[in-house]
Amino acid sequence: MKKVLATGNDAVLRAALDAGAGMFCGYPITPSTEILAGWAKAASKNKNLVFVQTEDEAAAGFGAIGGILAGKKAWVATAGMGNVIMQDPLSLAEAMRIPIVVYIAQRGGPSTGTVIFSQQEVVLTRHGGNGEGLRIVYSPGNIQELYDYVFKAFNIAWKYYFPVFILSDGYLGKTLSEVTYHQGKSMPPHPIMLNEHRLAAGQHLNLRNCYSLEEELGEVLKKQIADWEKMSEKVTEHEEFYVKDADLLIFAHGSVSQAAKAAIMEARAKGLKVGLFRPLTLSPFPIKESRKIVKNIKKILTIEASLGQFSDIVKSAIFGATGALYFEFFKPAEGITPEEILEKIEEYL
Amino acid sequence: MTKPLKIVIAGEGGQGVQVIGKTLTVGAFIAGKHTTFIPNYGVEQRGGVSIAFVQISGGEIPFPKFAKADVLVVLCRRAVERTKTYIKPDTLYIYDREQISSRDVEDIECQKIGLDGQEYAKKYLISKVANVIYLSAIVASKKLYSIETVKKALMKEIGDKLLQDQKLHQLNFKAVDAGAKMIEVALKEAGEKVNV
Repeated sequence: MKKVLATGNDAVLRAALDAGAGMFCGYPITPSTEILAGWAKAASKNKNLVFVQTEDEAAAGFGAIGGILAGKKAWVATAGMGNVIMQDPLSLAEAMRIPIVVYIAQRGGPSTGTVIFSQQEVVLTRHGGNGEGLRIVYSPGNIQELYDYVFKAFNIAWKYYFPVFILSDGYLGKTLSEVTYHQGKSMPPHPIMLNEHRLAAGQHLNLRNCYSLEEELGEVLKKQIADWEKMSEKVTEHEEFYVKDADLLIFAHGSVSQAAKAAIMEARAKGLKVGLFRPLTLSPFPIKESRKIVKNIKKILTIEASLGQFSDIVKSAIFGATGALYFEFFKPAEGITPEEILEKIEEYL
Repeated sequence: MTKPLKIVIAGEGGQGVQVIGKTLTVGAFIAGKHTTFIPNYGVEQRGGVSIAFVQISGGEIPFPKFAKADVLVVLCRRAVERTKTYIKPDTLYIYDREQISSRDVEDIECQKIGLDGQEYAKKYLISKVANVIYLSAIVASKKLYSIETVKKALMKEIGDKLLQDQKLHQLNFKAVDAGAKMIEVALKEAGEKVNV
């Protein structure tokens, strides 16, 4: 255990190293570049660490998949347009059940937008490209959680063989604050191509992403979806904050959920009955838990830095479970401060 | 709940605004406080108004950004307009008198303190330590932590450079002392007692 002062990007890098990551492929993009640069520096001092700077994000994703097939805990970090470009290899990772870890620092969009902050990559990161979006997405809210969930992502990926994403943002990556490094237990990697659990000796593993018959693919997907559902209950995480007697329940995720916490503390000091439901996994979403909690709530307020990408998930999760009034506060690609949230609480309560 | 003290520093790119922000945070960490620092790292970083957001608290700080500042430090004229949104009635507004005239800030309604940090640095030290004067002035204005801790934080941040250059080392430490003294005198003149 060691408490240090670090930026979010420092904490992400440290978590990956502590989790035993052995390979990073990437193409620099703000606000995640320091991770690539930090890995390059670490790799220059430790020959067991592989670093490949690729020509673009698609190649980075494919390169990391190659590393995983050969037995490296490989990972990638990107943002914004890089997240878009990387979706082709990440769809392949889904198809082949490759335990890749992906760090996403959301920035403002569309297109180049800003290098600063947004929550506009929720749909893209949760669902990805073609396919069913069988991918775990964590949404940490502060630097400590960045460290904790990046570390955890490697264990979850190598346990369940689904791609794991840490959906962060530019604020989190660039903030300097305290963090405690408490390296836990990490699972050792193994070459996926020679996975003894799947194969008899001497057999070759033919990982496929291409099928001739629709029924063939249908069967594979059925099994993958069944695995996903079996896993979902075990990995779903959420946090409840002052919910017990709340009349107004806020739904928020990531760093915005932390701004909401600060606002709720101020509101509570004024006697306002407001609480927070905050999914830590955006995928799988804590559907059961959110439905249970909204039952006796009078008003719901969903807050996000995009135009309803997160709110749509909330609405679909709680559909039919509550008669509460539903409000939304959207600020696409802009930071949301505790002060603004407090104003909204006072407006709706 | 302990409310964090919220500080905004704004100036031209190159005035060392982000160094002030980061070193303030490092000092707070050394002093055992909770702290956050986030730069405004948009296009401004490449020639424009540069802004740093710092919070220091005895308790946890949930979120790094905020709408209103308790202390606002403005080091160039065009940052005056850019930072008006961070002012509330009880903001302590510190500005550099070489860059900004009292007329530039006449419509700002909160406690205003004009300091001669840049002029002093040019005359008695070297111009590039002006930001260290303001760093120390911020710390002393709200008694965030000791002046010794400011020096420790500086060593942590730019110690490699300072250890190679004794003269620069001395100039930086003199700037720390000067900044604390300057704000102490200015606040006293403004009728507020400070116990540094």
